[in-house]
Amino acid sequence: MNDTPLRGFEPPEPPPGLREAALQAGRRGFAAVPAVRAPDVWTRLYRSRPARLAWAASVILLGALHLALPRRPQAGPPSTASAPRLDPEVGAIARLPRISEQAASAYSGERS
Amino acid sequence: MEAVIDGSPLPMAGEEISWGESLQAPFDELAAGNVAALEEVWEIAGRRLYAIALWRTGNEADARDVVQEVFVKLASGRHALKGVSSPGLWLLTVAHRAAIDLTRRRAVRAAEPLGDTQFVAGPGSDPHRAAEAAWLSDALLGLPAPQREAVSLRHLAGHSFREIAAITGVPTFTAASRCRLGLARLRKLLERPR
Repeated sequence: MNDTPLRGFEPPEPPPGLREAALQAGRRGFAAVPAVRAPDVWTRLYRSRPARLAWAASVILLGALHLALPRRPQAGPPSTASAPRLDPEVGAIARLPRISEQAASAYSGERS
Repeated sequence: MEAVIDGSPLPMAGEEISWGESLQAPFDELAAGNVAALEEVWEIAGRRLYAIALWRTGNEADARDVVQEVFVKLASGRHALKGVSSPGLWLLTVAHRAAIDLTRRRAVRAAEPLGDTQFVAGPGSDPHRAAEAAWLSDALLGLPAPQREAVSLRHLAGHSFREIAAITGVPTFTAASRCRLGLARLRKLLERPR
């Protein structure tokens, strides 16, 4: 880094008048933006009194409806009577082939 | 919190340059609404901002515009300054981007002739060094802007490759490559007879 042709030199000085021009531009930018930034939409929603009241009212209404509305009777176990009968051909396809029918019966015999 | 200027977040390196920490106090004051802190920012970073703007744009008039634009952005975006973790790098990055934007606008408008730009300064008032600085500036004018910027940031401002990469928004390898190629080209340009 020291063996470069730029060794011993420095960055240039700003031209006269640039300091004032830059500060003036900065002051203009300062004045263009309000001192307090407007809050974003979520902050405004969070701080909004009507929105909070609406939220509280909807919670109370939902709770009241939950208590007031009659409950439906408990549903029983699903009836198999109305279930359509399985087509035998589909049943044959759906039945998984066993590796060995004997092994299966031997296994069931052991269990019994 | 990530600092945002003009709607786009600025990439920050995990480290800060040596003089950058002294910008933290004026940044906090600006965020708190103290416009006088702009002067402190100028005292710390004014020369550096002008230098990077000059190295990138290649002429003094554009560099002046860039510096003023940086101060406008600094003041108008002051609400985001609290979240800036590396003020020095952040400020140089803003200047770099403003310089690129300005160069593009100028390129669209018209190609302007480059004047007698002083990219470097010799220490003191030695006339011999001043002549050398003018000769060097003339050679630096022959470099492409990204290489001139990288070489100057490295060898005049003393930044590391990582810092140059963070400022210019390129990988560290690219920053190092620009420095190497720029320096080789600069040496060739300096071999020409004066």
